[in-house]
Amino acid sequence: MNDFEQKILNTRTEIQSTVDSNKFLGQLHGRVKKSQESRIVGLTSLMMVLIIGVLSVIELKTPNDHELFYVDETENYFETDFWTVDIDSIEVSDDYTEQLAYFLLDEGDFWDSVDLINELTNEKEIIL
Amino acid sequence: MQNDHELIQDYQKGNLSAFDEIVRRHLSNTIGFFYNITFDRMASEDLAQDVFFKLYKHLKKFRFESAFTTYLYRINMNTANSYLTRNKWKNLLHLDQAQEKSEHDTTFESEWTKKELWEAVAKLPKKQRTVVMMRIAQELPYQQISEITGMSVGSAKVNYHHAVTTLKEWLSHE
Repeated sequence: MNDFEQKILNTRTEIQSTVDSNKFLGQLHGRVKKSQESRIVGLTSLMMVLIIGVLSVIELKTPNDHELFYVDETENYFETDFWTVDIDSIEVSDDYTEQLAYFLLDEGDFWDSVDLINELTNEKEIIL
Repeated sequence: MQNDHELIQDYQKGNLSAFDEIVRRHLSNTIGFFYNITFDRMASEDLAQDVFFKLYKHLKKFRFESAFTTYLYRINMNTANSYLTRNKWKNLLHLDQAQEKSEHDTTFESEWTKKELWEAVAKLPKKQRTVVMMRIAQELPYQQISEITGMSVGSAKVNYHHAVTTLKEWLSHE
């Protein structure tokens, strides 16, 4: 063992004062408790995010029938000769009017549906 | 009086006071180990907290294949390695400008301080650093260093020799 090696080994010093093990253990248990709480909070947050995510996906995948008002009978279009159609845009079928009225009623807009029916059936076309 | 393995078995069965007894038994030695690296009582207590916190989390998986002290020294060694690496970057980035010589630095020798020694140790390759730490801060025999690190006794000796030579060279130039 050379001098330098002896010098670096001599740098070792014993800690002077005694260690308060009770205080140390108190701090350690506090840290453990805090870590467990953080873990619970983390897991709960993760669960919440997962639940919200799953619910969002389910909700997005569900078709909302109430909002889909379109004519799904495509043969009507193919059989229609649009060049000879002499119909004003306001003259729509009763079926379409009823569907719109039902939709407005479903939405809770009673007076709007009354107005709509009035507009489509009762009001005369304004001739410019 | 229960030995370490019996206490660990008790802890694994759910007896938390057994863990407290393990901490009490090894606390001063662990803090002493870190004190010889940091020369700061608070820092060594913080590092000891890290060690026993890791122990609390992992002791339930202890498989009784080695002595508990070997297991504990391994955690000490890893924690000290992290500390030295962290400090090395801090020094490189000059974040620690206020370098005051502590009372321990002035009482040793004029050529280099303990702080400079450990800054140099931090720059050593990991294997050499580990062996030097175990030799200087814990005064462990090569046989035990070999068990802790998983290297052979011969390899531990060679690494220590290389480390001391490098440290001598670095510190004599400063």
